[in-house]
Amino acid sequence: MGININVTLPDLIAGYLKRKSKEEYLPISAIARKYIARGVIEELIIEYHRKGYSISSISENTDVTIAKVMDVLSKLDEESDVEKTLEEIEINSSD
Amino acid sequence: MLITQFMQIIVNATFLINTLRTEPEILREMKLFTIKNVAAEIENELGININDSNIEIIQTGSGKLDLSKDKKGRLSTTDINLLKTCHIHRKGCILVSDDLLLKNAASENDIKCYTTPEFAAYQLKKGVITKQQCVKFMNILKKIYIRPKDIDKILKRMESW
Repeated sequence: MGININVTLPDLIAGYLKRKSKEEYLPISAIARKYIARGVIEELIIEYHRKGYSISSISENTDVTIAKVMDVLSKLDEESDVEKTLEEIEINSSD
Repeated sequence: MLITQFMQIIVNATFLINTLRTEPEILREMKLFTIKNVAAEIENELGININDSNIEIIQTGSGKLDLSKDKKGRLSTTDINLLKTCHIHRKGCILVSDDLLLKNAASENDIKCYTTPEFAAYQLKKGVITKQQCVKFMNILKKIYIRPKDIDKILKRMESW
């Protein structure tokens, strides 16, 4: 059921976690766990994406919803070759 | 022209999620098709029962696909089932998906595939929706879309339509 990892955090981050702990009435470890998990999952999603996995496949592999996978990938600000498809649409519509 | 009027629009979860998050009424106005796996993904994710919508679930096909082992390993079971289903109907269907790997695999198997904004542009060109409706949809979609720059490029192209 998981492993214990002791880490030393910079004051800025530790201070933020302490503040969140007070605001959310949760132990600091629970708050830290939440943020680490969130960050690692996002990294994993991007890693799978860079390896060329499909969105549905990334969702399956990371146990994250498809909507969340799309939200994370939207931060990458990527673009695709839409011109080719638009040309095809223009040609087909003139049939 | 006759063929395009009867094109089956087969959609995956990316299209459904984008539409449900932006203009869900589109799903009631259009006749769309999907497969059981996609319906399960949507039900798990959004708690929406596809049977309550206008989307028809068609039988998962068993079309023979030409896919490399590597590509097959990077697609999900749902993706492959969608491709197999579309392959059977490939002369009379359009797959709508925002996943570029799926789109690429579809193209390699002679299946027409559009992303959500490309599909909106296609609907505009076919006269199914007005330019005003299309632009409005694109602008809402852009706020949540996986590749907002694609929408900018489509909107620019549409200026001359």
